[in-house]
Amino acid sequence: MADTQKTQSPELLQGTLDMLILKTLAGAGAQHGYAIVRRLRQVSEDVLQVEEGSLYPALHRLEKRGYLDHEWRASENNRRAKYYRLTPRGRAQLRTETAAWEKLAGAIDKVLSSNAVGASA
Amino acid sequence: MTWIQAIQSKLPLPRPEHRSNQEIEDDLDAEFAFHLEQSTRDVMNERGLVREDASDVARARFGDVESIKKRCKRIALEERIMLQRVNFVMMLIVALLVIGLGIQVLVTQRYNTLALQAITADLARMKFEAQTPSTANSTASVLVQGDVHKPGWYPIITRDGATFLKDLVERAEPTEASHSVSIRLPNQELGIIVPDAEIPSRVMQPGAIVNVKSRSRLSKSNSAEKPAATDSLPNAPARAGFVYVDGDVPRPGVYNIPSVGQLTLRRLIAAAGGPKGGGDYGVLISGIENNKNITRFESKHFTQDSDQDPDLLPEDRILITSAASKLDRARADALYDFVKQLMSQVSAEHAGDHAYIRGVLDKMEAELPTKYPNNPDLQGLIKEMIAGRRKILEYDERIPAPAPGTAPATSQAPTGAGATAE
Repeated sequence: MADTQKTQSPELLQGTLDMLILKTLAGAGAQHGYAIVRRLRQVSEDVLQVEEGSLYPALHRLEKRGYLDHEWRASENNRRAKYYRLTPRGRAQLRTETAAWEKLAGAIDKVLSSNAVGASA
Repeated sequence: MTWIQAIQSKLPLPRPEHRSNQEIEDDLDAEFAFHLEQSTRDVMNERGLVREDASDVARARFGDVESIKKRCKRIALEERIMLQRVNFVMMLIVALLVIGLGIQVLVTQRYNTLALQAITADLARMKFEAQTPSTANSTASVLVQGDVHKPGWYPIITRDGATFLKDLVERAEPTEASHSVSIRLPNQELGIIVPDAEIPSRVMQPGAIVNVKSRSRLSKSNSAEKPAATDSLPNAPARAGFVYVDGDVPRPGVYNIPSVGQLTLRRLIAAAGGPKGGGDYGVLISGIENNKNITRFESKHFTQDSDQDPDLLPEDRILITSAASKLDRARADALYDFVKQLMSQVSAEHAGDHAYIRGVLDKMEAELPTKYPNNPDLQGLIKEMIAGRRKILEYDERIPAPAPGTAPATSQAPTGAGATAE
Protein backbone atom coordinates (compact mmCIF):
# COMPACT_ATOMS: atom_id res chain seq x y z
CA MET A 1 0.00 0.00 0.00
CA ALA A 2 2.73 2.46 0.97
CA ASP A 3 4.75 1.38 -2.09
CA THR A 4 1.92 1.99 -4.57
CA GLN A 5 1.29 5.44 -3.14
CA LYS A 6 4.95 6.26 -3.52
CA THR A 7 4.97 5.31 -7.19
CA GLN A 8 1.68 7.09 -7.77
CA SER A 9 3.08 10.43 -6.61
CA PRO A 10 6.38 10.90 -8.47
CA GLU A 11 6.42 14.70 -7.95
CA LEU A 12 6.45 14.28 -4.22
CA LEU A 13 9.07 11.60 -4.53
CA GLN A 14 11.18 13.79 -6.82
CA GLY A 15 11.19 16.79 -4.51
CA THR A 16 11.72 14.58 -1.52
CA LEU A 17 14.60 12.72 -3.14
CA ASP A 18 16.35 16.01 -3.93
CA MET A 19 16.00 17.11 -0.33
CA LEU A 20 17.24 13.79 0.97
CA ILE A 21 20.31 13.89 -1.29
CA LEU A 22 21.17 17.39 -0.08
CA LYS A 23 20.68 16.29 3.53
CA THR A 24 22.87 13.21 3.08
CA LEU A 25 25.70 15.25 1.57
CA ALA A 26 25.36 17.92 4.26
CA GLY A 27 26.02 15.38 6.97
CA ALA A 28 28.83 13.38 5.35
CA GLY A 29 30.92 15.63 3.10
CA ALA A 30 31.92 14.59 -0.45
CA GLN A 31 30.50 11.24 -1.53
CA HIS A 32 29.95 9.23 -4.70
CA GLY A 33 26.54 8.15 -5.93
CA TYR A 34 26.68 4.60 -4.63
CA ALA A 35 27.57 5.75 -1.13
CA ILE A 36 24.64 8.20 -1.14
CA VAL A 37 22.24 5.38 -2.11
CA ARG A 38 23.58 3.13 0.57
CA ARG A 39 23.34 5.83 3.19
CA LEU A 40 19.75 6.69 2.24
CA ARG A 41 18.74 3.07 2.49
CA GLN A 42 20.59 2.62 5.75
CA VAL A 43 19.24 5.74 7.46
CA SER A 44 15.66 5.09 6.31
CA GLU A 45 15.99 1.49 7.39
CA ASP A 46 15.19 0.25 3.89
CA VAL A 47 11.89 2.16 3.69
CA LEU A 48 13.19 4.23 0.77
CA GLN A 49 13.68 1.52 -1.82
CA VAL A 50 14.34 3.75 -4.82
CA GLU A 51 15.64 2.41 -8.06
CA GLU A 52 19.31 3.16 -7.57
CA GLY A 53 19.85 4.48 -11.09
CA SER A 54 17.19 7.16 -10.68
CA LEU A 55 19.46 8.83 -8.14
CA TYR A 56 21.77 10.01 -10.91
CA PRO A 57 19.37 12.24 -12.89
CA ALA A 58 18.53 13.88 -9.55
CA LEU A 59 22.22 14.37 -8.73
CA HIS A 60 22.96 15.85 -12.13
CA ARG A 61 19.97 18.16 -11.97
CA LEU A 62 21.02 19.44 -8.55
CA GLU A 63 24.52 20.05 -9.87
CA LYS A 64 23.08 21.91 -12.84
CA ARG A 65 21.24 24.19 -10.47
CA GLY A 66 24.44 24.91 -8.62
CA TYR A 67 23.52 23.09 -5.37
CA LEU A 68 26.27 20.53 -5.86
CA ASP A 69 29.62 20.33 -7.55
CA HIS A 70 31.82 17.32 -8.18
CA GLU A 71 35.37 16.08 -8.65
CA TRP A 72 36.80 12.83 -9.97
CA ARG A 73 39.12 11.10 -7.56
CA ALA A 74 40.21 7.67 -6.36
CA SER A 75 37.77 5.79 -4.15
CA GLU A 76 38.68 3.92 -0.94
CA ASN A 77 39.42 0.83 -3.02
CA ASN A 78 41.43 2.91 -5.43
CA ARG A 79 39.01 3.17 -8.34
CA ARG A 80 38.19 6.34 -10.23
CA ALA A 81 34.92 7.71 -8.84
CA LYS A 82 32.82 10.90 -9.12
CA TYR A 83 32.46 12.59 -5.73
CA TYR A 84 29.67 15.10 -5.11
CA ARG A 85 29.82 17.90 -2.56
CA LEU A 86 27.30 20.43 -1.31
CA THR A 87 27.87 24.05 -2.38
CA PRO A 88 26.96 27.04 -0.18
CA ARG A 89 23.95 27.59 -2.39
CA GLY A 90 22.95 23.93 -1.94
CA ARG A 91 23.22 24.36 1.81
CA ALA A 92 20.91 27.37 1.71
CA GLN A 93 18.48 25.44 -0.48
CA LEU A 94 18.48 22.56 2.00
CA ARG A 95 17.53 24.95 4.80
CA THR A 96 14.69 26.38 2.75
CA GLU A 97 13.38 22.98 1.74
CA THR A 98 13.68 21.55 5.22
CA ALA A 99 11.71 24.44 6.68
CA ALA A 100 9.03 24.07 4.01
CA TRP A 101 8.88 20.33 4.56
CA GLU A 102 8.51 20.65 8.30
CA LYS A 103 5.75 23.17 7.89
CA LEU A 104 3.92 20.89 5.43
CA ALA A 105 4.49 17.80 7.53
CA GLY A 106 3.23 19.61 10.62
CA ALA A 107 0.12 20.73 8.77
CA ILE A 108 -0.57 17.24 7.43
CA ASP A 109 -0.06 15.83 10.87
CA LYS A 110 -2.56 18.27 12.35
CA VAL A 111 -5.14 17.46 9.66
CA LEU A 112 -4.70 13.74 10.13
CA SER A 113 -4.99 13.91 13.91
CA SER A 114 -8.10 16.18 13.80
CA ASN A 115 -9.70 13.68 11.38
CA ALA A 116 -8.95 10.89 13.79
CA VAL A 117 -10.70 12.87 16.55
CA GLY A 118 -13.67 13.55 14.30
CA ALA A 119 -13.93 9.89 13.32
CA SER A 120 -13.86 8.74 16.89
CA ALA A 121 -16.38 11.35 17.99
CA MET B 1 37.10 33.22 -15.35
CA THR B 2 35.69 35.98 -17.41
CA TRP B 3 33.38 38.56 -15.86
CA ILE B 4 30.45 36.99 -17.71
CA GLN B 5 31.16 33.62 -16.08
CA ALA B 6 31.54 35.39 -12.73
CA ILE B 7 28.10 36.92 -13.08
CA GLN B 8 26.62 33.62 -14.30
CA SER B 9 27.97 31.79 -11.26
CA LYS B 10 26.20 34.28 -9.00
CA LEU B 11 22.88 33.94 -10.75
CA PRO B 12 20.54 30.98 -10.17
CA LEU B 13 20.97 29.86 -13.76
CA PRO B 14 21.72 26.33 -14.98
CA ARG B 15 25.45 25.81 -15.22
CA PRO B 16 26.53 25.91 -18.84
CA GLU B 17 27.65 22.59 -20.25
CA HIS B 18 31.14 22.74 -21.76
CA ARG B 19 31.72 19.03 -22.40
CA SER B 20 31.20 17.46 -25.79
CA ASN B 21 28.52 14.81 -26.26
CA GLN B 22 31.19 12.11 -26.26
CA GLU B 23 32.72 13.39 -23.01
CA ILE B 24 29.32 13.46 -21.35
CA GLU B 25 28.70 9.89 -22.49
CA ASP B 26 32.11 8.73 -21.22
CA ASP B 27 31.59 10.36 -17.80
CA LEU B 28 28.18 8.68 -17.41
CA ASP B 29 29.61 5.28 -18.41
CA ALA B 30 32.44 5.63 -15.86
CA GLU B 31 30.09 6.79 -13.09
CA PHE B 32 27.58 3.95 -13.67
CA ALA B 33 30.34 1.34 -14.05
CA PHE B 34 31.78 2.36 -10.68
CA HIS B 35 28.32 2.14 -9.09
CA LEU B 36 27.61 -1.31 -10.54
CA GLU B 37 31.05 -2.57 -9.55
CA GLN B 38 30.66 -1.40 -5.94
CA SER B 39 27.13 -2.79 -5.78
CA THR B 40 28.23 -6.18 -7.17
CA ARG B 41 31.01 -6.46 -4.58
CA ASP B 42 28.62 -5.67 -1.74
CA VAL B 43 26.05 -8.21 -2.94
CA MET B 44 28.79 -10.86 -3.22
CA ASN B 45 29.87 -10.15 0.35
CA GLU B 46 26.39 -9.87 1.82
CA ARG B 47 24.75 -12.84 0.12
CA GLY B 48 27.74 -15.01 -0.76
CA LEU B 49 26.82 -15.10 -4.44
CA VAL B 50 29.20 -15.72 -7.30
CA ARG B 51 30.20 -12.66 -9.29
CA GLU B 52 27.82 -13.25 -12.27
CA ASP B 53 24.75 -13.64 -10.06
CA ALA B 54 25.76 -10.69 -7.87
CA SER B 55 26.17 -8.55 -11.01
CA ASP B 56 22.63 -9.45 -12.12
CA VAL B 57 21.26 -8.41 -8.72
CA ALA B 58 23.19 -5.13 -8.86
CA ARG B 59 21.83 -4.37 -12.36
CA ALA B 60 18.30 -5.16 -11.24
CA ARG B 61 18.66 -2.73 -8.31
CA PHE B 62 20.13 -0.06 -10.58
CA GLY B 63 17.36 -0.14 -13.18
CA ASP B 64 17.56 0.39 -16.95
CA VAL B 65 21.03 1.81 -17.54
CA GLU B 66 20.25 3.14 -21.02
CA SER B 67 17.08 5.00 -20.09
CA ILE B 68 18.77 6.55 -17.03
CA LYS B 69 21.71 7.57 -19.18
CA LYS B 70 19.29 9.19 -21.58
CA ARG B 71 17.66 11.17 -18.78
CA CYS B 72 21.06 12.32 -17.52
CA LYS B 73 22.14 13.41 -21.00
CA ARG B 74 18.98 15.40 -21.44
CA ILE B 75 19.67 17.20 -18.16
CA ALA B 76 23.27 17.92 -19.24
CA LEU B 77 22.15 19.30 -22.57
CA GLU B 78 18.88 20.91 -21.52
CA GLU B 79 19.98 24.43 -22.29
CA ARG B 80 21.29 23.40 -25.69
CA ILE B 81 18.00 21.70 -26.52
CA MET B 82 16.17 24.67 -25.08
CA LEU B 83 18.25 27.04 -27.17
CA GLN B 84 17.51 25.09 -30.33
CA ARG B 85 13.82 25.17 -29.52
CA VAL B 86 13.96 28.87 -28.72
CA ASN B 87 15.80 29.52 -31.97
CA PHE B 88 13.24 27.56 -33.92
CA VAL B 89 10.33 29.30 -32.22
CA MET B 90 11.95 32.72 -32.70
CA MET B 91 12.52 32.01 -36.38
CA LEU B 92 8.92 30.90 -36.71
CA ILE B 93 7.69 34.05 -34.97
CA VAL B 94 9.91 36.27 -37.12
CA ALA B 95 8.77 34.51 -40.28
CA LEU B 96 5.13 34.85 -39.26
CA LEU B 97 5.67 38.51 -38.37
CA VAL B 98 7.28 39.20 -41.73
CA ILE B 99 4.50 37.43 -43.58
CA GLY B 100 1.88 39.17 -41.47
CA LEU B 101 3.47 42.57 -42.00
CA GLY B 102 3.74 41.91 -45.72
CA ILE B 103 0.07 41.04 -45.94
CA GLN B 104 -0.79 44.04 -43.80
CA VAL B 105 1.24 46.35 -46.03
CA LEU B 106 -0.35 44.93 -49.18
CA VAL B 107 -3.85 45.20 -47.79
CA THR B 108 -3.22 48.72 -46.48
CA GLN B 109 -1.69 49.77 -49.77
CA ARG B 110 -4.63 48.42 -51.71
CA TYR B 111 -7.05 50.10 -49.33
CA ASN B 112 -5.14 53.38 -49.49
CA THR B 113 -5.06 53.27 -53.27
CA LEU B 114 -8.80 52.78 -53.40
CA ALA B 115 -9.39 55.44 -50.77
CA LEU B 116 -7.13 57.85 -52.61
CA GLN B 117 -8.95 57.19 -55.86
CA ALA B 118 -12.25 57.83 -54.17
CA ILE B 119 -10.96 61.03 -52.57
CA THR B 120 -9.43 62.20 -55.85
CA ALA B 121 -12.68 61.54 -57.65
CA ASP B 122 -14.63 63.41 -54.96
CA LEU B 123 -12.22 66.34 -55.11
CA ALA B 124 -12.40 66.46 -58.89
CA ARG B 125 -16.19 66.43 -58.72
CA MET B 126 -16.27 69.15 -56.05
CA LYS B 127 -13.80 71.24 -58.03
CA PHE B 128 -15.84 70.75 -61.15
CA GLU B 129 -19.05 71.71 -59.37
CA ALA B 130 -17.36 74.74 -57.84
CA GLN B 131 -15.88 75.90 -61.11
CA THR B 132 -18.54 75.00 -63.61
CA PRO B 133 -20.35 78.23 -64.14
CA SER B 134 -24.06 78.40 -64.03
CA THR B 135 -25.63 78.02 -67.42
CA ALA B 136 -27.82 81.03 -66.75
CA ASN B 137 -26.93 84.07 -68.82
CA SER B 138 -26.03 86.42 -66.03
CA THR B 139 -25.23 90.04 -66.69
CA ALA B 140 -22.19 89.69 -64.46
CA SER B 141 -20.85 86.81 -66.56
CA VAL B 142 -19.00 86.33 -69.80
CA LEU B 143 -19.28 83.42 -72.22
CA VAL B 144 -16.05 81.56 -72.82
CA GLN B 145 -16.09 79.20 -75.80
CA GLY B 146 -13.93 77.74 -78.52
CA ASP B 147 -10.98 75.44 -77.93
CA VAL B 148 -11.58 74.99 -74.21
CA HIS B 149 -12.47 71.98 -72.11
CA LYS B 150 -15.14 73.84 -70.16
CA PRO B 151 -16.99 76.32 -72.30
CA GLY B 152 -19.73 78.26 -70.56
CA TRP B 153 -20.69 81.36 -68.64
CA TYR B 154 -18.15 82.53 -66.07
CA PRO B 155 -18.71 85.16 -63.38
CA ILE B 156 -16.42 88.17 -63.71
CA ILE B 157 -16.97 89.52 -60.22
CA THR B 158 -15.90 87.01 -57.61
CA ARG B 159 -15.19 87.26 -53.92
CA ASP B 160 -11.61 88.06 -54.87
CA GLY B 161 -12.66 91.04 -56.96
CA ALA B 162 -12.64 91.62 -60.68
CA THR B 163 -11.45 88.75 -62.86
CA PHE B 164 -8.97 89.34 -65.63
CA LEU B 165 -9.39 87.84 -69.06
CA LYS B 166 -6.43 85.54 -68.44
CA ASP B 167 -8.11 84.00 -65.37
CA LEU B 168 -11.36 83.47 -67.25
CA VAL B 169 -9.58 81.71 -70.09
CA GLU B 170 -7.58 79.57 -67.69
CA ARG B 171 -10.67 78.60 -65.77
CA ALA B 172 -12.23 77.35 -68.98
CA GLU B 173 -9.08 75.23 -69.48
CA PRO B 174 -7.86 75.85 -73.03
CA THR B 175 -7.21 72.64 -74.93
CA GLU B 176 -3.73 73.88 -75.77
CA ALA B 177 -1.25 76.07 -73.96
CA SER B 178 -0.70 78.03 -77.15
CA HIS B 179 -3.89 79.83 -78.08
CA SER B 180 -5.16 83.16 -79.28
CA VAL B 181 -8.05 84.96 -77.67
CA SER B 182 -10.64 87.18 -79.29
CA ILE B 183 -13.51 88.94 -77.58
CA ARG B 184 -16.79 90.38 -78.76
CA LEU B 185 -18.32 93.02 -76.57
CA PRO B 186 -22.08 93.21 -76.06
CA ASN B 187 -23.93 95.34 -78.61
CA GLN B 188 -21.04 95.07 -81.03
CA GLU B 189 -21.08 93.25 -84.30
CA LEU B 190 -17.39 92.50 -84.58
CA GLY B 191 -14.98 90.64 -82.40
CA ILE B 192 -11.43 91.79 -81.83
CA ILE B 193 -8.32 89.76 -81.30
CA VAL B 194 -6.73 90.56 -77.95
CA PRO B 195 -2.93 90.85 -78.13
CA ASP B 196 -1.36 88.25 -75.86
CA ALA B 197 0.33 90.96 -73.83
CA GLU B 198 -3.05 92.44 -72.87
CA ILE B 199 -4.69 89.18 -71.84
CA PRO B 200 -3.40 89.11 -68.23
CA SER B 201 -4.51 92.66 -67.43
CA ARG B 202 -7.68 92.99 -69.47
CA VAL B 203 -10.82 93.39 -67.34
CA MET B 204 -13.96 92.04 -68.92
CA GLN B 205 -17.32 93.65 -69.42
CA PRO B 206 -20.39 91.63 -68.46
CA GLY B 207 -22.06 89.89 -71.37
CA ALA B 208 -18.90 89.75 -73.48
CA ILE B 209 -18.11 86.65 -75.48
CA VAL B 210 -14.60 85.23 -75.30
CA ASN B 211 -13.45 82.96 -78.09
CA VAL B 212 -10.38 80.82 -77.51
CA LYS B 213 -8.60 79.36 -80.52
CA SER B 214 -5.75 76.86 -80.29
CA ARG B 215 -2.80 77.99 -82.37
CA SER B 216 -2.08 74.61 -83.84
CA ARG B 217 -5.76 74.02 -84.60
CA LEU B 218 -4.92 70.40 -85.04
CA SER B 219 -7.85 68.90 -83.21
CA LYS B 220 -10.73 68.54 -85.55
CA SER B 221 -12.69 66.96 -82.74
CA ASN B 222 -12.89 70.32 -81.04
CA SER B 223 -13.96 72.10 -84.17
CA ALA B 224 -16.58 69.39 -84.57
CA GLU B 225 -17.97 70.17 -81.14
CA LYS B 226 -17.66 73.86 -81.68
CA PRO B 227 -20.09 74.81 -84.46
CA ALA B 228 -22.98 75.45 -82.10
CA ALA B 229 -20.85 77.95 -80.22
CA THR B 230 -19.25 79.63 -83.22
CA ASP B 231 -22.46 79.73 -85.18
CA SER B 232 -23.97 81.85 -82.45
CA LEU B 233 -21.40 84.45 -83.47
CA PRO B 234 -22.27 85.25 -87.09
CA ASN B 235 -19.07 87.22 -87.60
CA ALA B 236 -16.63 85.06 -85.71
CA PRO B 237 -13.59 87.30 -85.55
CA ALA B 238 -11.20 84.40 -85.67
CA ARG B 239 -12.14 83.64 -89.25
CA ALA B 240 -11.90 86.61 -91.52
CA GLY B 241 -8.59 88.28 -92.14
CA PHE B 242 -5.31 87.89 -93.93
CA VAL B 243 -2.35 85.56 -93.82
CA TYR B 244 1.08 86.14 -95.24
CA VAL B 245 3.10 83.54 -97.13
CA ASP B 246 6.87 83.54 -97.56
CA GLY B 247 9.48 81.07 -98.62
CA ASP B 248 9.73 78.35 -101.24
CA VAL B 249 6.46 78.89 -103.07
CA PRO B 250 5.99 80.40 -106.54
CA ARG B 251 3.51 82.99 -105.33
CA PRO B 252 4.36 84.36 -101.88
CA GLY B 253 2.20 87.20 -100.66
CA VAL B 254 -1.00 88.04 -98.86
CA TYR B 255 -4.03 85.75 -98.86
CA ASN B 256 -7.37 86.30 -97.29
CA ILE B 257 -9.26 83.91 -95.07
CA PRO B 258 -12.83 83.50 -96.33
CA SER B 259 -15.54 84.64 -93.96
CA VAL B 260 -17.28 81.29 -94.31
CA GLY B 261 -15.40 78.04 -93.83
CA GLN B 262 -11.77 77.59 -92.89
CA LEU B 263 -8.57 78.27 -94.72
CA THR B 264 -6.28 75.38 -94.00
CA LEU B 265 -2.55 75.28 -94.50
CA ARG B 266 -2.82 72.77 -97.33
CA ARG B 267 -5.29 74.90 -99.26
CA LEU B 268 -3.17 78.01 -98.73
CA ILE B 269 -0.02 76.31 -100.05
CA ALA B 270 -1.93 75.03 -103.08
CA ALA B 271 -3.13 78.60 -103.71
CA ALA B 272 0.44 79.88 -103.41
CA GLY B 273 1.49 77.53 -106.22
CA GLY B 274 2.57 74.52 -104.17
CA PRO B 275 6.05 73.97 -102.81
CA LYS B 276 8.92 74.76 -105.13
CA GLY B 277 10.46 71.56 -106.45
CA GLY B 278 7.65 69.39 -105.00
CA GLY B 279 8.30 66.60 -102.53
CA ASP B 280 8.36 67.00 -98.76
CA TYR B 281 8.59 70.41 -97.21
CA GLY B 282 8.41 72.08 -93.84
CA VAL B 283 6.24 74.95 -92.67
CA LEU B 284 6.72 77.46 -89.87
CA ILE B 285 3.68 79.35 -88.68
CA SER B 286 4.02 82.34 -86.43
CA GLY B 287 0.95 83.76 -84.81
CA ILE B 288 -0.53 87.21 -84.74
CA GLU B 289 1.55 90.35 -84.64
CA ASN B 290 4.01 90.69 -81.75
CA ASN B 291 3.42 87.10 -80.69
CA LYS B 292 6.69 85.18 -80.58
CA ASN B 293 5.10 81.76 -80.70
CA ILE B 294 6.21 79.73 -83.72
CA THR B 295 4.89 76.29 -84.69
CA ARG B 296 6.68 73.96 -87.07
CA PHE B 297 4.85 71.52 -89.38
CA GLU B 298 6.02 68.76 -91.72
CA SER B 299 4.19 68.37 -95.04
CA LYS B 300 4.14 64.60 -94.78
CA HIS B 301 1.89 64.94 -91.70
CA PHE B 302 -0.67 67.53 -92.76
CA THR B 303 -0.89 66.61 -96.46
CA GLN B 304 -1.79 63.00 -95.79
CA ASP B 305 -4.01 63.39 -92.77
CA SER B 306 -6.61 66.12 -92.97
CA ASP B 307 -6.94 66.01 -89.18
CA GLN B 308 -3.37 67.25 -89.02
CA ASP B 309 -4.00 70.06 -91.51
CA PRO B 310 -4.08 73.22 -89.37
CA ASP B 311 -6.68 75.96 -89.86
CA LEU B 312 -5.13 79.39 -90.29
CA LEU B 313 -5.88 82.45 -88.21
CA PRO B 314 -5.83 86.07 -89.31
CA GLU B 315 -2.36 87.61 -89.23
CA ASP B 316 -0.59 84.23 -89.38
CA ARG B 317 2.84 84.32 -91.01
CA ILE B 318 3.52 81.18 -92.99
CA LEU B 319 7.01 80.23 -94.06
CA ILE B 320 7.51 77.35 -96.53
CA THR B 321 10.85 75.53 -96.78
CA SER B 322 11.03 73.23 -99.82
CA ALA B 323 12.27 69.67 -100.16
CA ALA B 324 15.82 70.73 -100.96
CA SER B 325 15.93 73.22 -98.14
CA LYS B 326 14.25 70.83 -95.77
CA LEU B 327 17.08 68.40 -96.29
CA ASP B 328 19.41 71.23 -95.33
CA ARG B 329 19.02 71.76 -91.63
CA ALA B 330 21.06 74.96 -91.72
CA ARG B 331 18.65 76.39 -94.26
CA ALA B 332 15.58 75.61 -92.19
CA ASP B 333 17.25 77.08 -89.13
CA ALA B 334 18.23 80.21 -91.05
CA LEU B 335 14.62 80.74 -92.09
CA TYR B 336 13.52 80.21 -88.54
CA ASP B 337 16.16 82.67 -87.34
CA PHE B 338 14.99 85.20 -89.87
CA VAL B 339 11.42 85.06 -88.63
CA LYS B 340 12.52 85.23 -85.02
CA GLN B 341 14.87 88.13 -85.60
CA LEU B 342 12.27 90.08 -87.45
CA MET B 343 9.69 89.46 -84.79
CA SER B 344 12.01 90.38 -81.96
CA GLN B 345 12.80 93.69 -83.60
CA VAL B 346 9.37 94.59 -84.85
CA SER B 347 7.28 94.74 -81.72
CA ALA B 348 3.70 95.91 -81.33
CA GLU B 349 4.43 99.62 -81.25
CA HIS B 350 6.20 99.35 -84.60
CA ALA B 351 3.38 97.42 -86.23
CA GLY B 352 2.25 100.33 -88.37
CA ASP B 353 5.63 102.01 -88.68
CA HIS B 354 6.63 100.88 -92.13
CA ALA B 355 9.71 103.11 -92.30
CA TYR B 356 11.05 101.41 -89.19
CA ILE B 357 10.28 97.91 -90.51
CA ARG B 358 11.96 98.80 -93.82
CA GLY B 359 15.01 99.92 -91.81
CA VAL B 360 15.13 96.60 -89.99
CA LEU B 361 14.83 94.70 -93.27
CA ASP B 362 17.61 96.78 -94.86
CA LYS B 363 19.83 96.14 -91.86
CA MET B 364 19.18 92.40 -91.98
CA GLU B 365 19.93 92.33 -95.70
CA ALA B 366 23.19 94.19 -95.12
CA GLU B 367 24.19 91.70 -92.41
CA LEU B 368 23.62 88.64 -94.61
CA PRO B 369 27.16 88.40 -96.10
CA THR B 370 28.66 88.41 -92.58
CA LYS B 371 26.02 86.13 -91.12
CA TYR B 372 26.24 83.42 -93.80
CA PRO B 373 29.65 84.18 -95.36
CA ASN B 374 30.11 80.93 -97.29
CA ASN B 375 26.53 80.24 -98.16
CA PRO B 376 25.27 82.26 -101.12
CA ASP B 377 22.25 79.96 -101.32
CA LEU B 378 21.11 80.93 -97.83
CA GLN B 379 21.84 84.58 -98.50
CA GLY B 380 19.71 84.37 -101.67
CA LEU B 381 16.88 82.67 -99.79
CA ILE B 382 16.77 85.25 -97.01
CA LYS B 383 17.04 88.06 -99.57
CA GLU B 384 14.01 86.59 -101.29
CA MET B 385 12.15 86.55 -98.02
CA ILE B 386 13.14 90.10 -97.23
CA ALA B 387 11.86 91.05 -100.67
CA GLY B 388 8.61 89.23 -99.83
CA ARG B 389 8.33 91.26 -96.64
CA ARG B 390 8.77 94.48 -98.59
CA LYS B 391 6.00 93.36 -100.93
CA ILE B 392 3.75 92.83 -97.93
CA LEU B 393 4.53 96.33 -96.71
CA GLU B 394 3.73 97.73 -100.16
CA TYR B 395 0.49 95.84 -100.11
CA ASP B 396 -0.41 97.22 -96.68
CA GLU B 397 0.30 100.73 -97.92
CA ARG B 398 -1.95 100.28 -100.94
CA ILE B 399 -4.87 98.84 -98.99
CA PRO B 400 -5.63 100.24 -95.54
CA ALA B 401 -5.65 97.90 -92.55
CA PRO B 402 -7.97 94.95 -93.26
CA ALA B 403 -11.20 95.00 -91.35
CA PRO B 404 -11.92 91.49 -90.15
CA GLY B 405 -15.31 90.15 -91.07
CA THR B 406 -15.86 92.53 -93.93
CA ALA B 407 -14.61 89.83 -96.28
CA PRO B 408 -12.73 91.76 -98.90
CA ALA B 409 -13.33 90.84 -102.49
CA THR B 410 -9.99 89.13 -102.70
CA SER B 411 -10.21 85.42 -103.36
CA GLN B 412 -7.75 82.77 -102.37
CA ALA B 413 -5.64 83.72 -105.35
CA PRO B 414 -2.59 85.74 -104.44
CA THR B 415 -3.42 89.35 -104.00
CA GLY B 416 0.10 90.57 -103.44
CA ALA B 417 2.68 90.87 -106.16
CA GLY B 418 2.79 87.19 -106.89
CA ALA B 419 5.67 87.57 -109.31
CA THR B 420 8.21 88.06 -106.55
CA ALA B 421 9.79 84.69 -106.79
CA GLU B 422 9.56 84.31 -110.53
